[in-house]
Amino acid sequence: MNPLALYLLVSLAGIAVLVGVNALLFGRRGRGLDMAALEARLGLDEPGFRAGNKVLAGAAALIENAADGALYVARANGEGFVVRKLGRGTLKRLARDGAALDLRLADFAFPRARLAFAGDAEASAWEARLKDFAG
Amino acid sequence: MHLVNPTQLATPAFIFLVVAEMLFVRFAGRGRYEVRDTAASLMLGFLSVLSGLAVGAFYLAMDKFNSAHALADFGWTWPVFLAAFVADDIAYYFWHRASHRVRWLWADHVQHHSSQHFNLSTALRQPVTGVLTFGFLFRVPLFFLGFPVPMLAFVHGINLVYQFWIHTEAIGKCPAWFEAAFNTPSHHRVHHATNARYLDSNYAGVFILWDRLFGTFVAEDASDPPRYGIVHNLATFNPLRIVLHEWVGIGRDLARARTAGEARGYLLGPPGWSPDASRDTTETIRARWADFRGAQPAPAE
Repeated sequence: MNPLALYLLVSLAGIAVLVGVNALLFGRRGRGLDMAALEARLGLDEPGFRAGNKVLAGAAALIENAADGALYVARANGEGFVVRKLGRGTLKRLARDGAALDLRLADFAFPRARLAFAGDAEASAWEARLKDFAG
Repeated sequence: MHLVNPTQLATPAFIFLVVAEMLFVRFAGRGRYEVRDTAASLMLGFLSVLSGLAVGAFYLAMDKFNSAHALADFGWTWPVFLAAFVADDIAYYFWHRASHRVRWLWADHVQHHSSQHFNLSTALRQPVTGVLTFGFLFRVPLFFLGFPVPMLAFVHGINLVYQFWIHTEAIGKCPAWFEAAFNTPSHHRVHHATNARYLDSNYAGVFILWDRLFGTFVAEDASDPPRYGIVHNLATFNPLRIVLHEWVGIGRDLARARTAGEARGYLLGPPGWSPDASRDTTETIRARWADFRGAQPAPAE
């Protein structure tokens, strides 16, 4: 067999073994999103961050910086989460679906987030706030 | 002369050591592994082997070119091997530094930094699009000087193999003399961190001396544990999105550029550059922290 083809086959087998061992040892512990962890992270990443209005809505969250009024959206990503600061035009699409909001960002690496609120009133309040950022 | 490919030769050891680190993390509780992150890293490693074939073709072309045009012929002796290793490491430092400061190169290198984890599988999360960036041109001066091309390919492979073991949280600090001269897990944790004080530092491959010499060295501070990843982390484990995300970003920015200067900034400026400075660069992030700290009341004596 061609040595390169053999190397590629061995590599693929190695990948399968490593992913299998990883799953066996650690499982899939999708912790989702945790508001305390999100606040702590923003406290480390954003100078002077103080949590203002916030909501954990299913696998996504919104949180305001009380220091400057900036709004952040976060979504669960595996065992962790990913955050984006919203700015004018960063929301490509904002769609209401009952008590949920579907956000589509102008960001290839953070394309969408679904905020599943506890009720319509909460969804309406945040929808009004998010309209400021729609492009 | 025919030399083995060090990275191919080391692959079984990579697999064994990743398993060993997983067991260590599972039972000692130091470090983190997540199956989708690991799978993404390993797939990028696999794809990089395929794309690396194009770089191999470049080496072959240089080998032909070199025999006719090199300034000298250093030959095949142990001191020349050693000199080639050091010279390649210097070239690596400058390529790596440029890869963090020039968006065109960063679009490739960011793939390696895109994990929020830092473990031995992260070492295998190799960029796939390097051949598009022509980053390998940083090593062209070594070809012209007169080092044999197969020797340069070999020492570069050794350099990459060395860098595997420094992607770990399982090792704290090495002996002081080693930390002073060589790249270590501690130095490389800093390199992969997004903490403002750690951004754009510790570019070394093997010898951390280059960072100390050129002013880019930052020591790990136990009071500020590294937060791994990139400034705007990726909400995906999809290898294709990981590979393409910065290239797509460049494409979108070029489409909206209004002048040649803006296009140049988007391509060759530092990652995060924008005409109105509205995005985050290392400099703006550090400036925000400096302003914030400056506005804080001084601690009481």
